[in-house]
Amino acid sequence: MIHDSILRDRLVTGDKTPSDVTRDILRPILNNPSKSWKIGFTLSVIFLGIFGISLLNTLWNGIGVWNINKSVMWGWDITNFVFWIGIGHAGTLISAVLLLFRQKWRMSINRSAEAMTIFAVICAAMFPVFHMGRVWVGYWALPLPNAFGSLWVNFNSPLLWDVFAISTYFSVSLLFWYIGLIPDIATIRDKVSSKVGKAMYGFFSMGWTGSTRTWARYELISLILAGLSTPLVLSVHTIVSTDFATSLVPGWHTTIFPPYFVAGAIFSGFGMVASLLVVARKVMNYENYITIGHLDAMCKIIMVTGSIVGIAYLTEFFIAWYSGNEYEQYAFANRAFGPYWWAYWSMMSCNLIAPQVFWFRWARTTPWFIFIMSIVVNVGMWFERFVIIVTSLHRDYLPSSWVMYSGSLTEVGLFLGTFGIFFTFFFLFAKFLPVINMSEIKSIMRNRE
Amino acid sequence: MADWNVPNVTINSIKLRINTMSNNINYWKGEDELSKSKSFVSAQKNEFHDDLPLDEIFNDESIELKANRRDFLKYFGFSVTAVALAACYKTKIRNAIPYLVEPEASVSGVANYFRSTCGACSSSCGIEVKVREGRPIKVDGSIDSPISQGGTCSVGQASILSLYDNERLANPLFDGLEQKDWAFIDAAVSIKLNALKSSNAKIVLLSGSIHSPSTLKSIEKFASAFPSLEHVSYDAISYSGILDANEADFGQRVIPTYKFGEAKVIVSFAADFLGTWISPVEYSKGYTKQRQPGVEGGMSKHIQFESSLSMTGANADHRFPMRVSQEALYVASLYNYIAIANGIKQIPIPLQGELAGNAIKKTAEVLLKSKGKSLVISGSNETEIQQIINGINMLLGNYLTSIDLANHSNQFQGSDTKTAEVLKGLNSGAIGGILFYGVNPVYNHNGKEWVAGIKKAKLSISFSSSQDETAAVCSFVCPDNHYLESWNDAQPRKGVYHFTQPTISNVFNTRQAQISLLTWANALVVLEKDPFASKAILSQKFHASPFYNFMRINWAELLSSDESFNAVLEKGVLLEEPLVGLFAYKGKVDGFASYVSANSKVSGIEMILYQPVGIRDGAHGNNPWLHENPDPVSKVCWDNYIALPKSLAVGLEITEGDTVNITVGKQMYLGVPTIIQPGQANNTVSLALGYGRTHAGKVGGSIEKGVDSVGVNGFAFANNTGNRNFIIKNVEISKGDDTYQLAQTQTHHSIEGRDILRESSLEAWKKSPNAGNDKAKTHVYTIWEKPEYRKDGAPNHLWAMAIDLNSCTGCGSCVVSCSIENNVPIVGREQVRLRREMHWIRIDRYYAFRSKEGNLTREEEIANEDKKGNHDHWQDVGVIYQPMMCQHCANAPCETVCPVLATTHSSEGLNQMTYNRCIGTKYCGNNCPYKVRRFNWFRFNDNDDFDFNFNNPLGKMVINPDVTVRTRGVMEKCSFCVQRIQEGKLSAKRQGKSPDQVVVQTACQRACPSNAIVFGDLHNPESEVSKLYKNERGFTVLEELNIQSSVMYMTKIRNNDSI
Amino acid sequence: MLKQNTKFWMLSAFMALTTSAFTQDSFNADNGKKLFEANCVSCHAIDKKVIGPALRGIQLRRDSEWLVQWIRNNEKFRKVTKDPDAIALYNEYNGAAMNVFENLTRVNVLEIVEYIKTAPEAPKNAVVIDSADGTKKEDNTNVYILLTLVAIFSIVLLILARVKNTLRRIAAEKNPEEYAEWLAPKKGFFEKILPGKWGKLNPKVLTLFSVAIVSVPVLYYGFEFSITEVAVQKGYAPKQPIAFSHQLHAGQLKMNCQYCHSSVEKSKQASIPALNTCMNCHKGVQLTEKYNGEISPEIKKIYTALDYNPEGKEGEQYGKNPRPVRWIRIHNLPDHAYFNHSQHVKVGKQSCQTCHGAIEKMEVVQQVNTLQMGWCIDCHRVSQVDVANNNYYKALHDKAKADIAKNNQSSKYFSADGTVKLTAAMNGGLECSKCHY
Repeated sequence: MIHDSILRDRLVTGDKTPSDVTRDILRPILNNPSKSWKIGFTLSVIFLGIFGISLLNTLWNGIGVWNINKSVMWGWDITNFVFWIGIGHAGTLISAVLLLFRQKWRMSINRSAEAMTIFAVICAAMFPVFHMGRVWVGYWALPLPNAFGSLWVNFNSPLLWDVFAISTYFSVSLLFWYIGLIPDIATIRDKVSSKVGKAMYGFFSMGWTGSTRTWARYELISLILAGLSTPLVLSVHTIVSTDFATSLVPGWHTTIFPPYFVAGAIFSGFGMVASLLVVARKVMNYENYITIGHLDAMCKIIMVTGSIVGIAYLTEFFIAWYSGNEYEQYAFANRAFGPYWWAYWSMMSCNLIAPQVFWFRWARTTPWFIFIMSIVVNVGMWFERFVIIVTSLHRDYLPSSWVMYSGSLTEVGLFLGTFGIFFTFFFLFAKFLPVINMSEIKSIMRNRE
Repeated sequence: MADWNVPNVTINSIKLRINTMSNNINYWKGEDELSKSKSFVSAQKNEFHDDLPLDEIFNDESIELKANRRDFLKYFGFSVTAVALAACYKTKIRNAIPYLVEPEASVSGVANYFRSTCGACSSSCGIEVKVREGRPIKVDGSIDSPISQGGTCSVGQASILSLYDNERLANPLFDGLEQKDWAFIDAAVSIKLNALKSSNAKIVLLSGSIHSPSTLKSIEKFASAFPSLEHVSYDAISYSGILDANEADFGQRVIPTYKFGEAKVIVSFAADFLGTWISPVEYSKGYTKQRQPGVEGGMSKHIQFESSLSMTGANADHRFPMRVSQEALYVASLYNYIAIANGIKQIPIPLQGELAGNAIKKTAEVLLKSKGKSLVISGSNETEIQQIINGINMLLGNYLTSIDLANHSNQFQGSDTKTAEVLKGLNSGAIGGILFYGVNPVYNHNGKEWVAGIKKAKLSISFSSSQDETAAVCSFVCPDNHYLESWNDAQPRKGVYHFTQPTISNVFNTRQAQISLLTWANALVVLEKDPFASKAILSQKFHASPFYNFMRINWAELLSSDESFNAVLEKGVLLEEPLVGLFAYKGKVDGFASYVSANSKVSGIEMILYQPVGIRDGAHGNNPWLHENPDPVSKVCWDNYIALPKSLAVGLEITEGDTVNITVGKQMYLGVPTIIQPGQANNTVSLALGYGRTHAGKVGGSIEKGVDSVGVNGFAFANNTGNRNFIIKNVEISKGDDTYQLAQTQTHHSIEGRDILRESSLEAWKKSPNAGNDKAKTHVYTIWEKPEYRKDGAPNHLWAMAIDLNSCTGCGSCVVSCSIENNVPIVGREQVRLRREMHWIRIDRYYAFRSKEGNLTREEEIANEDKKGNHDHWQDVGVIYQPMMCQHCANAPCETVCPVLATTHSSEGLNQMTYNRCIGTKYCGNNCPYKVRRFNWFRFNDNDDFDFNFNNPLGKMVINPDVTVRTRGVMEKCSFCVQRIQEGKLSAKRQGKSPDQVVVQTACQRACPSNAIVFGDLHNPESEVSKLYKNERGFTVLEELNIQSSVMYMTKIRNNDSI
Repeated sequence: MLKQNTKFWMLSAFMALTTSAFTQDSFNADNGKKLFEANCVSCHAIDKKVIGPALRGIQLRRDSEWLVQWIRNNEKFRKVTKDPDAIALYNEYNGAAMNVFENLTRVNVLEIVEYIKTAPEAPKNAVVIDSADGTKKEDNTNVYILLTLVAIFSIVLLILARVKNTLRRIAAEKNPEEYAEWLAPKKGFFEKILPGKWGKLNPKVLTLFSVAIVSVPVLYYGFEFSITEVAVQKGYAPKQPIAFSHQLHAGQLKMNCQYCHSSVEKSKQASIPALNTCMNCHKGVQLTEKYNGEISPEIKKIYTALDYNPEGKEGEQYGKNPRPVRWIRIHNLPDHAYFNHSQHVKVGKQSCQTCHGAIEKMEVVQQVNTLQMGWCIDCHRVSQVDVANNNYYKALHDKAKADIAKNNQSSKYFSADGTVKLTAAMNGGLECSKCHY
């Protein structure tokens, strides 16, 4: 039931027929992997290896192989955690919120955005888990019955809220992604020739027949899940922001964090989606599905959320000054002009100033430029978290405990390694599953025979 | 699918149904069930739909085995687990090995305390040793000792670890080879000694200052057996100047007893009497007595003139930078001003009004106002300067009040000139045999010459308990016991006797040096009745140590019976009636004009070699606790460094992390780390002694083991002619090529104008007792009610601490004491560089730079002042210390953020840290505004990367068995010594005492030589801490956060209104 | 409907059996369990005759009022009330009188009865000290039980699989088209990977076999880990180097525990006695009459340990080679848990048996409690502090009472009238740093 205005740009260009769509999208799955895929995958696995080595070093020797110290007890680890969780936001936003608002243009990008969410959340989860001094008893953070006279968890602790928020977010996102995949998996099941492939896709398609009944249920459950995950978009990063906002560290102790973090998350999430899709559409020849129009829309979102984040930065400064609290004032002055000024100004220029170029149409429609800008945005957002965490901790209340902090090789290795995790998953995904939601994309095409 | 049609049921009909059904109770969950619609019934039937038509097969309803799949799994899981748990009772076997015969007075699990004497330096403080299951685990001051008065210094605290140093010599050495048998050594030494005796060659016993009557007696016995023996005392840090001055002026070669507790004005010329000078614990106890603003007769005034910023200078009310080379001029000017006032002949030099901004004249005025209640001292080793000081004190009438010559100190007796003669004699071959007892001149004197000299001697013996620099070149090493294994006595002050008793049997095959001497002199004695003979256990017969016998005979006159002797041992102290009287003063200083003018010429850059508070003269160079205890002033651990004044650093273009090359004559060190030290006088630099050991061991540096020395050896620069001099003129200094990061526990030194420390002046305090503490109370809005146990008069205890900033001298004794008590691991230089020291208590030190515009306490202000090109504000600094440990906040921010409740609050006001619950998220550490939480970054025990005492079985003997050794990955912090609280409460409970009678002292409080820390129960209105909480000087740090800290600090009052 | 009901009853019965959380009766079986363990277990077991009779079903055999009277004071019941049943029972047990428990209230007794009523059946042949003859069987019963269970479950699984196949076969016969694939012969997984006739064996047996091969070591090491590391050592009763019998010394000879464990009121450790403590008696007591003139072999071990020669000359009996006895620790608290005996015995007035069980009946000492934290905490929650007889607590109590009077409100620790007694938990006995530092 598509009521398409002829005034609107087409969401899918190139006069594709549904069978073209199936052919185009299934090409990487049905054929042997391309050379570029192989190179990319190998690189990702190498980075995955870096992650493994760094993690092994951390687990074998202790958290001491990082450079965090008595005052800055969170460093790259939690920076990376918030960074990845932020990236994980665009997926849900695109799939759920835009679905609820019936934004048709989401159809061609939601699949990869959702996949990205899941992989990003996996990457993110690595850090709160492995930053624990005693990972092996980490399960104590779960409310489990026990023989200690029923020792319970602390429901006051934002870290516990994190546990709930992230696990919920992950499960719902995974479910949403998987449900969306079922019709496409069924298509592959029918196309694929190898026996193993048939079995696997057959298993995962859960007996999808494509009957009207199944479609109706499919639509219903998508809507329900979208409804469920929409509040999660807000809640997860709100809860992550309370990790900081409920503390009393000057620079963390601010009530603006929830909206500001959510905006930042969407900002960085779209940054990541943009950089992935610009590459994917080129490499996989999906220009007709992921059109300039998509990129344009995403750039607009990046610009808006970037500006929101920028306003938040300025508001923080204003509040610090207005509060009259000398510790708060010092913390913010120190961010901008203290020893970590470079981090602060990197953040400002990447997040507030750089996205303003998207006021210009050229900037929004030039893929290579968008790619560069999206990288800039992600760099900026990493710095944002670094600024919040490190510059607040390194100089807090008692000057006697003021310290400097810089990441160790292991910490850098872990961060780079999570890109290994992310891209390894992503490459596998691109190889074995359709990157674009075929069934949905067919529903928004104009020339459907 | 559900039936969406709403059944047409009215409210009344529902009521009706409920009523009718009330007799036959049937609950329903929805209208569907109530109305039993078709769809409901079928849905209900299929609620747990089974694939297999089992229901049809077992359709007989009489069969009750209706367990479905889930129930099956439940049963299955339960029974397998239960059976398995019951079956597997195999476990690691742990043994419990009881005594064969239980020793008397020892209850396993309960500590015994023995009085003894600290042997860490020759100050010989009286101590109390805590012994658990036969191993000493803690040393604290004995309250009965007039020297320690219950306090200890960090060296004394740490000295217990050298007992458990596995690098001590396990056996005597002969030519570097271990000999298990002392008889062999005795035979060999006797042959050599007798050969020397028959050739009438001179034998020298070079020892540290010995004031033990029994030891001296044993040396006497040795000397009578070998009449050519000469006993020479040598102190690495020499006080020959004072000794010689007193000999010249009073005919007594002694150091007087300085009574800081009697002095209302203290003027010190570069004497670090709180940190290192002669008897710092004794002096700290006296000094702080007069540092209370409310003390009778008014708070004392302390004026310090010095080049390098010492800990004592940091505590002074007025501190004036002075080039130590000009000390003679300063002292002489002070003498002249006082002489003028007294109408006595001056030293004929021009009056130096401009010295330190007329400070000398003002000092003289202050001193003259409190004649007879003042004390002027100098750290100089120049006889002339000390004579002028004597003159000043004489003119001020301080003898008999604050200076006691009759009951003089015996702590230091070394003679530099005689030591120099010994060295000469060795090298000329005049001395045939040399014995080193408690000295290490190869390290801390003219090393190369000593090595050459010792090699020339026919017999060289060292009694060192480790293979130190001197022992390494001696042919015999006869390792002495650790003092905790020894019998001994001491007379640190005339009429004050301390006793040493062993608290553990010998760890290694070592022997007390006295016994060795007596053995060789063939002068061992046997008591008529061995007091230990009756204590035989099984077939094992006990004998008293030969030196015990010797001591008993030596004390036979005074303490003849076992009872009297044991009573003295129990108390650890024997006091004689103090003497009264003064020796005739025959000093004449007015002839010193030429000396003064000759010795006050300014020449180039000067270097001051000083004893650091932790390492002192380096004798304990292998003690990691001391290395990790940060310097009170610079907060540097694990290294020494050149302290530069800012002006010189700017001149040499040295910034943080740069090194310098330093040359004095032929001696040169390259790449010495630097620190730009506020308070350092212009054109002077300072270097700590006691570092650069080459034969200390794996901690302090060892050539044999391939371990680099910690720091550089400052003794190499010392001027050994005449009285040893540690002030080196005309030092060449240039910027080095390398950079070096020092391990500092505090790297930001200004307080940034924050209200975390409060101070005021005495005059202001007199006007209003809450001066400096009069900031309006912060308005606190809270939705929470005060917890019941915190309300006044609530039952049980409420533990709290009060710290008097006026008393705290910053010495760091508490830091070491806490580490010992609580099994705090040593982490080493690299970890401190990464800012990961584990100390539960630290002493924050802040500088205030004084410029014309007032105090500069912000980084920015100081930088702005620097830009003006004038660095005088770097010379004139105020220093304030603040001990900081877990504040046990009532609203603790760490507690709310822990996801697993590993840190919680007790009903006694303690912030409890449960290590075994901790999963290590470190959030609590981030959220602690005091930054007192410490994380176990690594496993610090049994880890070769941290090869300190937790890495070997012997070193682990020092572990306090009542405190858990923390594992890797958990947070830890000050617990207010909860193990002592629990022990104190339990002992009251066992005896049925009331809660107000519970006595608990924390480890830091117990060690403090200045009584700055008070701990107790706030619910006991009579407790000292309750009283201090009502003191108007009390404030808590970061009160505005409403975290309600349980540590009250007392505003620092400085007596610095006028001068 | 009926099916639903049975399910519900099944479930509730199961719950009642396992957790007893749903007992509707007004008597608290939980409390009864504690009382039972504190007072009765030394002579009674539920399913077994120990010194007294097995108690299961006692509520059916005896009237509850009878039980109250009997348990509270059986002597009075026999002699004053002259209850015939009571006298008969007394005679049945050859005049061995049961202890008097006047400290138990009527409700207490009924709680105990409630507990007996609802107590779960003990797994048969579980580790129980057979105190009748005083020896613990060194047996492998548990392993056999485990193996039997595994076998039973395997058989059940096989039968179920069989049933399933049969059902499918019935279905296939009815509707061969739909099950064509299933009916067609195909090569199984094992046939592919195993050579020759091995592959022809029943694939289900093979599967079970391979699963067993994998899971047995995994389970074994998993459980061993959980036992040693989680320190659940209940029932641990190792053979000691000297077969010292608490049953003999503490039980029959009625020696005071503190004679040997002398520091129990002074120290955190109860202390294992030094061997010279043994020698106080065993210098003389050599049990030669029992061993045909020879010294008892166990007492000889003491002599060997001390290198003591009983025939030696006075003063020279001790040789030069004593060897300390390496007892095996039974109660191993982890390092991070601080336990102080004097706190519990001297101050808390707990009997040794509270934690160590009926030690006076143990020939070989075994750990009767888990020593897990939950166990400690449970006890702290109910153990009352002796306020009246210790000035420490009395002063606290008075202070609290004064406070309550002043503020006209009740306190968390004490009620206004002072009747509610203070438990260890109320006095901070649940706080972490009471035991962990």
